[in-house]
Amino acid sequence: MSALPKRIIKETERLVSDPVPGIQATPNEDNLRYFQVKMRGPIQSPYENGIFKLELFLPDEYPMEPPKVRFLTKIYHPNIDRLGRICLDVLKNNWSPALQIRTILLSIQALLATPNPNDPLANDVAEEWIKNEPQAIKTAKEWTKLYAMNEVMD
Amino acid sequence: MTKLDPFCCHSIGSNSELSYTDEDEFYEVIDIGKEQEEEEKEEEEEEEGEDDGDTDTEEFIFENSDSDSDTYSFESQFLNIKENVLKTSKNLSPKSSTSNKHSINDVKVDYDCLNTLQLYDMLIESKIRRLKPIFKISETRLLNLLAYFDWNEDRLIERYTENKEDTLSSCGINIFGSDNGNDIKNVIKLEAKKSYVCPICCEDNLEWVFYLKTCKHHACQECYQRYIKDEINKSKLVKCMNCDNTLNLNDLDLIMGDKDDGSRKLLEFSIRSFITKHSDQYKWCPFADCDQIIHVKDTCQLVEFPRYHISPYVKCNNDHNFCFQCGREKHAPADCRLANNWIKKADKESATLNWVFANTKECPRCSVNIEKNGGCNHMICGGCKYEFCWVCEQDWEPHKNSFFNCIKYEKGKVGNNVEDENSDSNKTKNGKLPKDFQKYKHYYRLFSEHEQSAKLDMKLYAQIEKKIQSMQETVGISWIEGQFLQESINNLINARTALKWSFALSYYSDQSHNLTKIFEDNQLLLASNIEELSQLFTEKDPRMLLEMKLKCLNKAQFVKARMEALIECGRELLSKGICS
Repeated sequence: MSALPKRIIKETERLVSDPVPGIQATPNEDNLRYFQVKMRGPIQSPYENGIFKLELFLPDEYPMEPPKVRFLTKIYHPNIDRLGRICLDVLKNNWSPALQIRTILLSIQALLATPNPNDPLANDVAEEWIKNEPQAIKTAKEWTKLYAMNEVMD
Repeated sequence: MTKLDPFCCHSIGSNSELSYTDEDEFYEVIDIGKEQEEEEKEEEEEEEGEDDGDTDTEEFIFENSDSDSDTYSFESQFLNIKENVLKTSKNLSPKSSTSNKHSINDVKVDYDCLNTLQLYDMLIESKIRRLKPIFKISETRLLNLLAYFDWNEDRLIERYTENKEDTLSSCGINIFGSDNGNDIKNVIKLEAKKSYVCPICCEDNLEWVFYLKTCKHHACQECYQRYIKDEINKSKLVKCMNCDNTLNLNDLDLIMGDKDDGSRKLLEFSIRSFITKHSDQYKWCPFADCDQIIHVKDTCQLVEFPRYHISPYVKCNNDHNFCFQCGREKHAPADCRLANNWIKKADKESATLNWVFANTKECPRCSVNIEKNGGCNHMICGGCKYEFCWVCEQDWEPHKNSFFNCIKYEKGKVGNNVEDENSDSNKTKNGKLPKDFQKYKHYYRLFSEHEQSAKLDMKLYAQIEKKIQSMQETVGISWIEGQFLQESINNLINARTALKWSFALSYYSDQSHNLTKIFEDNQLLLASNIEELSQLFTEKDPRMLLEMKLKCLNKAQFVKARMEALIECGRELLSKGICS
């Protein structure tokens, strides 16, 4: 494997020394481009008190290409599908090399706080969200309790 | 009336004016050819001038009548007299005989052929110059702006009048950054200090830094170059990596250090988006590796074509002929709708038929496998010297004197009976084959055979060029004298394409109608003449070729005339609804 670019080293250092509140990203020992992420559900959202696991991978072309991010914990959210894939503009078209791992993770956290059922990835969830929002929020809370309460932040 | 004289196509219906005229010309050519060899070239040119309304490769114009139309115009006294003669002499079709000569001269398409740079100049000329006084920004930026607004000028102006600064800044154009339309550079190239660290790659020890004056963001050369390369291929605007500020074309060139990677690429992208947006007026030439663009100025002209069952054929600067309507090769006498149906059907059936029309056939006498490697259908078996026709796999002898009978579909009589029986048994076995499968198979075979032959003709064309060269060397002729071969083979290729598509027409035609029979007789005549012409080209000795010049030219001229007659006849079939 080629040497790790300075940009990745620098970002990793900063993620460890100056972590984003509520987000914890640890690089894999064997592959420094692969990160295990734990994210606290935003307060006053259906995901409050939950701790969600994600994986993040920096492709060879990073930072010209966006990182690949996926939820590992099951989550009931209109913009996140059953496989944990995330529909977020900055992960696709609106990626810019000036963005970083931390900004991307913050954007994902913000997405948890403000679900957008009008641009859905999980159609069934989005439908429920539009038709019966209180019920959808209730389900999201239940799922958080069921799947996202077993983890602790280090 | 099973066997009509193919010449009598003009006798039924008054609309076959064209073929009649051509016939006359054919005889003229022959006469002249016999009498005065030297004057022939001039004569031919004159003739071309005469039949101005014929199919020209660039402007597809027909001079003919259409019984359904209300507007009539009279061509000339001369033609009218002929018309009257026709009307009085053969009055088989009362309905059409009442129709007057109608000119469809006006059914033509005006077009330009452009390349990307010419289109760019045209856009600057037609759109940008007009908008520039309103916006007071540079031309390249306006082009960016227009591309950003999907080339919708009205929407852009509307938005602009509503809110100037928002419109511009939404496209990253800072109004203070532009100096009354003079495109100033937003980006500055600086030598990197030792302590400088690029915020994108975090590297130090760099050579060059690019700094945006308006937003004060910066990055190193390598990062910017990689970034721009990616961005140009996907978006209409290249923005600053950190904010919405756009880089203008000069900036791109400065960073990339080369116009081909920078502004020209982005312009190409803009122009591609322009063509996609205006696909009714602009079309890329569909031929492989051809980057020409055809521009039709007035799309209203295109509306007329389907009414007359003809298609707007255009030719790009690389001599590629295609139909502007459907983007296919020239498909006359079929119109776009029919060509489309035929192709769709062929796509559907081709899996079944591919094996039937393999490239080899067995000699009907000694069963040795023969591969056809020349354009002519007159086959001589290398083993037993049996002469036969490639199409019907029967003796060649009858083809020589009488009609070239094998393109005619007559159930039971046709070609390879064994094969037919096999298919019949297939049919009864699975019961899935459609009722007209036999008919379709027959015409598809003819279609694909002539398609194959056309390809071989193209090979022949390459050989002809060599022959001309060798003639120049061995016989000592001038370049211009060799050109007759090229001309003739062009006629041959065009005629074969028309013949090919005529089989599609045959398939969809009402077989019992008299006009269909005339059409098929026209087909026969064209086919036999095409084969004769094709055979002329197989002559190996350059000296002999030169001696055949007259024969060649006459034959080619005749083939051209027959092709036009066939196309016209096909159009008649379509416009009378005999072919559906």
